[in-house]
Amino acid sequence: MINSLIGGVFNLVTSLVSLILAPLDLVISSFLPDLSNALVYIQQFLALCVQFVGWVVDALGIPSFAINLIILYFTAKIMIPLTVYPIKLAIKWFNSLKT
Amino acid sequence: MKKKILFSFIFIFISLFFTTNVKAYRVSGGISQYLPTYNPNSYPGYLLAPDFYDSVRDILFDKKYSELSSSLQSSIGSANEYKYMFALANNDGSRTNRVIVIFTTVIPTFTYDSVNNSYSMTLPAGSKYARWQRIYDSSLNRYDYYFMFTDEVSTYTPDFYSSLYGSNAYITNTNNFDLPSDFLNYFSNVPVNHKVYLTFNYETYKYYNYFYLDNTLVYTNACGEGDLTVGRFYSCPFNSDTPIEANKVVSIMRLSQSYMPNGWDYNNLGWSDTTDKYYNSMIGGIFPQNSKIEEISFISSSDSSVLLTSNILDVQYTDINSPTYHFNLFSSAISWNDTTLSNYDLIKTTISFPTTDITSFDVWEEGFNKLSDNYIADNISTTNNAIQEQILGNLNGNTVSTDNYFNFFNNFQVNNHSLSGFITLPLQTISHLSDTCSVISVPFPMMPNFSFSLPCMSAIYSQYLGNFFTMYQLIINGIISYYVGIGLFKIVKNTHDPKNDSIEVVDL
Repeated sequence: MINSLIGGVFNLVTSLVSLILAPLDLVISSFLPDLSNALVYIQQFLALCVQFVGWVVDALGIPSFAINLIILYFTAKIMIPLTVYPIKLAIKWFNSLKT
Repeated sequence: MKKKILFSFIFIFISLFFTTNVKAYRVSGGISQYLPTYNPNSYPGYLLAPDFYDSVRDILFDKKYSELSSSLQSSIGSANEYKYMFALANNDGSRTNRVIVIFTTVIPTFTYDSVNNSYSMTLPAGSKYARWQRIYDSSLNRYDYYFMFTDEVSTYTPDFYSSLYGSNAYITNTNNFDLPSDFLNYFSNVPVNHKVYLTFNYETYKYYNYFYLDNTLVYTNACGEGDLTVGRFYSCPFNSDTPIEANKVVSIMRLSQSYMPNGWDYNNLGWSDTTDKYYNSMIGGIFPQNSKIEEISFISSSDSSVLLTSNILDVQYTDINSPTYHFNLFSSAISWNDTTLSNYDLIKTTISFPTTDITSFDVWEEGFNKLSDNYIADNISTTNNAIQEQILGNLNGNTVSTDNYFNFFNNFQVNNHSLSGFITLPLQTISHLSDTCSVISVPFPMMPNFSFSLPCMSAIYSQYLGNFFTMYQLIINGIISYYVGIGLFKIVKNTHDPKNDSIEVVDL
């Protein structure tokens, strides 16, 4: 249940990002095709760099325990405020209605 | 600053607990030697994996068994203070009550035996059978004792190496896992070349059996010898003194048609597990009078997963008034895949049957041996790879499942227009943090046929830096744990502010 809710929220965020950027993407690809190509190349370069993350982590000798902690941290960093904010909002509404 | 240092040490100690398993695996002798140049065509490549239990690491050789529990002593019976005993040892070198074998005399060189289950001995986990052997280690000028544990052995494979198959086969020894070169040579050379010859002397009408190991006569008269009798069936009998391949030998001789079937000596077939079947078949008149044997074939399976308990002997014969008949003398077969032999493509090795009155032939089925060896090699290779992967995974941390964390970031997609790709790049990077390292091959510019590879370094670190690398990882664990802990604390603390309703984002 919670996983579905979280997944839905993040899919919604991703979709919103794509939706917001869609007109801009359309403008760039229609009127500035060279810029579009340049952005694509940059993105492909970044994607290529990202593929080497595993090797870099291995070369740095960072143990899996630390990697898990880092991923856990970022997960918590996104999840905790996202979970707490609706609760605080509900309490805020409740207090407003009470007064 | 002092608090930071204090917290770092605390986290280092905490992380020490998390990494104990990794360290303990090596310290407890889980793997001590791996043959990196393992060639699947050679026999056998194997790992030493004496770490059967988390708390047991070694085989201990002891002359006394008075320290055993009274229950085990009573189960062993006939207490003898100076029996030789092998038992699994604890990490501190003390002996456990997991006694593998007890001898009243020193194990002779190149002998073998199976565990005597009547002693209620406890075998290592996952194994059902144990065999051992004493081999002189010329490099150390001492004898060494080797133990092989496996979950599968053939009933008629008393040989040490011949039992080295099964999905859970291990070899260990009492010499800190160092394999002498003699032992390696022994294992790498013997199985391919050892053969059994059942020979006949037609002048003296006697038969002999020889068993050769690597062109050296090891067993003389392994299957007995005696006078040839007309129309008698000769085979190498199954018994504990018979080398494994001896059961592949079948020799048949006959004098003339007039002695069949009554000329066959049913009582000297020697196939202890199929005697009744064979006997009954013969009584049933399979070879009628005046029939003529045209061809005798030995059938083996082309599927390496099938192990025949004996040769499938196919006899083709003709009757005077009948067309050609085939009779399968031995049909017993076991399949490791729990399927019947008939499902496999059988290889038929035809042996010509001369027309002379006294006919004999010597057979050793090398092809059959190769199938068996391949199966052993495949099993060992699979086991080795799994163990290696487990060990290296523990050392490198690659086998720690991060799916639960990892999948969280998988929903972030990159579209073709790149802008959202930039935004989600941090998440992409995080999602790749737990990627397994793979060798990077980079081609040289202007030289398409040349490239250089960047190997995964952690394995190299582990090999050459040893404990320093472990210490480095501990420190890294502590530092990252500290900052992650501080970060998490800050996140939780920020939630206390009733006015703070901001959503955290990951910066580009």
